[in-house]
Amino acid sequence: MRYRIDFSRVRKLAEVSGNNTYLCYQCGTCTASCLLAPSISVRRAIKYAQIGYLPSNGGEVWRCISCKYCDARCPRGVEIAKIMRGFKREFYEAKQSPNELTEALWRVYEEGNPLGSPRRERSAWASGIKLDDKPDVVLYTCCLAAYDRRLQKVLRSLVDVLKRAGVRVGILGESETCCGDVVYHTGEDYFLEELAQNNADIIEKSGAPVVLTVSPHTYNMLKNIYPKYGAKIGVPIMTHVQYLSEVLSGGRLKPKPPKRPRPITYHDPCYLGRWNNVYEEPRQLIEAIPGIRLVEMEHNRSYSLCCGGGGGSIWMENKDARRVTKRRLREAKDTGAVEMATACPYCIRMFEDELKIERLDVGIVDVVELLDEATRE
Amino acid sequence: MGRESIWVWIEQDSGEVEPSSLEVLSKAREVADKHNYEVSALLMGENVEKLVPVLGRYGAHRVVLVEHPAFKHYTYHPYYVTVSRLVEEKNPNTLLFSATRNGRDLAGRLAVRFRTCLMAHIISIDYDKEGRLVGGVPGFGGNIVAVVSCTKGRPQMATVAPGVFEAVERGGGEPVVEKYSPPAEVEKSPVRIVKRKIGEVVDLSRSEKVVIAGMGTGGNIELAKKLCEVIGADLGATRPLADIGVVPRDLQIGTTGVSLKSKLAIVLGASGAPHFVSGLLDVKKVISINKDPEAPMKEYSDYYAIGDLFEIVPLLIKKLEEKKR
Amino acid sequence: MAELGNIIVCLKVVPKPEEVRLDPETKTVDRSRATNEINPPDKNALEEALRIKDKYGGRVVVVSMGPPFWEPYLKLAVAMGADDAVLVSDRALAGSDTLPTTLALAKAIQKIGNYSMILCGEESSDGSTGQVPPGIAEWLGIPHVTFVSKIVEVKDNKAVIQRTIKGGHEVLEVEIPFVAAIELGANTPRFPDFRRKRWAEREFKPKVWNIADLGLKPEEVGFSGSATSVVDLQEVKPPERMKKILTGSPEEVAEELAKAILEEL
Repeated sequence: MRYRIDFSRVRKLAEVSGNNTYLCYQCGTCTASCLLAPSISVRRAIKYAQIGYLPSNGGEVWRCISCKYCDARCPRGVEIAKIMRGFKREFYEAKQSPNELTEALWRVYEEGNPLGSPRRERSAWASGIKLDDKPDVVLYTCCLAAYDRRLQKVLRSLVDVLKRAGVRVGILGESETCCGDVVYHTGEDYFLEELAQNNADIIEKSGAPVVLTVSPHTYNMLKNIYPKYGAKIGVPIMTHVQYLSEVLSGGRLKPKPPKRPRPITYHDPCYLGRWNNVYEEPRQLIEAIPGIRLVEMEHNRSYSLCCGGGGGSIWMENKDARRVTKRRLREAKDTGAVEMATACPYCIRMFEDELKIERLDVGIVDVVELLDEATRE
Repeated sequence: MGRESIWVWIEQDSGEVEPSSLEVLSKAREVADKHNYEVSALLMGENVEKLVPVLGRYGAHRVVLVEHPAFKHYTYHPYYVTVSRLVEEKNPNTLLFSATRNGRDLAGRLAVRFRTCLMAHIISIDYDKEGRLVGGVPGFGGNIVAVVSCTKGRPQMATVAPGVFEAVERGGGEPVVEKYSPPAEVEKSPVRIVKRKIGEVVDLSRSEKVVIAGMGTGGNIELAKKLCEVIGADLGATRPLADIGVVPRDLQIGTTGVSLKSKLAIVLGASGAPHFVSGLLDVKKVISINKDPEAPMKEYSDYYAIGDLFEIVPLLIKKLEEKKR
Repeated sequence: MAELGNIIVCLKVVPKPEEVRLDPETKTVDRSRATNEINPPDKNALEEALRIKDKYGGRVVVVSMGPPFWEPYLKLAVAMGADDAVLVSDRALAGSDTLPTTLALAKAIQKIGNYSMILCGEESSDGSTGQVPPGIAEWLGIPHVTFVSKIVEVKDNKAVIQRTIKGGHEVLEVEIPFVAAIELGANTPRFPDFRRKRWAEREFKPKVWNIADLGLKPEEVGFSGSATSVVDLQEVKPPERMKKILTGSPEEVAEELAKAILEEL
């Protein structure tokens, strides 16, 4: 097969990964560790990046759930997840992205969220809850959590727990718009630029002293991706588990033993763990609850398995990703835990949807829901 | 000079009548009897004279019969030139179509040809004191019904929503048959059928009883199918089940699928998302089984059973079988 | 192969159906608080046109009949890839039913000229008549096809088209020029190019024509040009459900359910 090297694409893909595509010496550790093996040949994708080749069928790149399992294992420190995203941009510009993601983009543009739920119902989850005009923290809720009935409970638990700790909580209300995680993972850059800058403006105008995220995807976008699109957020951004951990160590929360003492395992969300190195705070929160015994799964912390929802996968029918979800559920069940706690709305949604089919006896909760149970009157 | 005439275009394919045309014919006769009008069935097809008695039974006083191979399957041109010629010659008061794909296709063009009124997809029909055709037209996704009247043009035209009126045999005798030859242009159609692919026709919108499987079944539709067998129902599904390929798209209920008009819908394990629920608005009785005591489906059900469908449905099937004996 | 010239796309801006309210006193439809969107199947029609242009060349021109506030939507169509846009706007058009609407659109299309195909969405989510595409074809004296799921191929003076029928589909050959009504969901409309969108917002101006530009007189359009009239408007309330909750052992629940089901058999 004759191929003429496309040097501009070589440069584009190298740049997007922080100029380390050339570090790869094709050892294949990435392919071997990939959770979706053998559906993706990660090693070959990096080779394609090195020669600027865009395969006619982009399938592999779109199957990638951007869990960074390969990244964490690469002996040369190649930033594989970034290269995959760079490919997605190339495919998007060549008009070869999956239809489901294009449809999600339209919904983000028209309704401010990838579900296509009405913009004016964005803060319906908070109806009846008294929020503060001069808050200590402003909650950036995540589209899925704001509109999904089950995940709205996580938001309400979070507000309740914070209020019990004497924290004044505010929200952005109807002007809150998708953080753009799905846009980023579709490979689209120009709408994302506008979206990011608008969102940064909204945050600034709100006068929020601290922005609190419920979803590690939101956190990742606001903290790490927005600056690349000219959107600067001038106040601290924290994940809910980091903030709660501070509140806890400040003695403002006093968890009591729950009605049902039980063993619980913890699933590290990829975007919290491997993407942003937050591993211990959620564990501190769980272990602070007397009567709840934390049991670790075999794959934990930087070895944690993925829920299958990242990289835009949650918005598509990704059969390979479901294998990953199932595997993690079985691992949770094997620990003997009654529930698997986690700290990401995407993870909760992926696990609960798969449980409808897998029918295993394990509950899924967010860490803050455990705290809510333990601090309620 | 003679009674006013209501013409009903009878849709057919390969000599088989489209059932909803008989609904329109029957309703036209009911309205015609009220006002002492006459009903003519417009029958165009290949070898379709055998259908004349059926049309009589459903209310036609007369049948205008035009036979030609060009009418075997629908393309607009042969029908358009023939109906135009007939209407110009005989000047009927009213021209009705069933709002099927082909009915809408043909009526839309003819209304402009005659520079006349055309009411779309009507769910009610009558004439006012001045003899103007008046119909109920649903709009905005069915949330609003506009009562519309024809203000000018002849013939007064409307397409009638299928499944709204019942096709009733009115015990009519042999209709008077008027045979016509089609104009020569029917053979010069600018549209030509190259090939057709028709699979098994599953039309849930005509089902009387439907069992709908939701994601709560986990994609396992065996119990749903058994329940269908026991009560003689058809199987439907929510969108996620069609998405994961457990059922074909034809069985999908909701805004991008089928709107049911059944007497009974039994919903197994669906939470009640708005896009699904809108397909149930015309169902007489909705029965749901769901593990979640708080699912939105409970607001859209007549009976909402809280429990595990895998435990309840086998027991339900047994009881239904016993009571049938 | 013959040049395709202008590929016309008819576009309508509609309120979201679930957000429209009925004013029971004035008996009019209140669209003011509803968000507007491009009629969804029109997006599919535009996408199909852009695909034809990608494959065979030609110029995609969007035509709309509506008020001035529709301009940003025309610019969005340009951002998706349309080459030009025409807005037919005139107070005299208010109250037009499909008869004068199709007339005005046909006149605009004739004024644009050099067209090989006219693509419309199958129906609009507000009126849902589906009458406009065949009506335009009749005014222009060209063939039409409805419920098109795909324009498969264009060759010389004919196009090969796939149409949805009861139970399946058929493949047709149509003479160019023709009107095609594209089904909702026939394709996935491409997301706009936001660089092009910024350009369109700054620099692009759609042509705006009034009825005089089209050679039409006020009597021919609006209420006077229409052949139907709305006599009354009623809101349709969703059915009242009994909402009877059944709890208990599976045995007890099954018994209650069996009774409720048998009533309908």
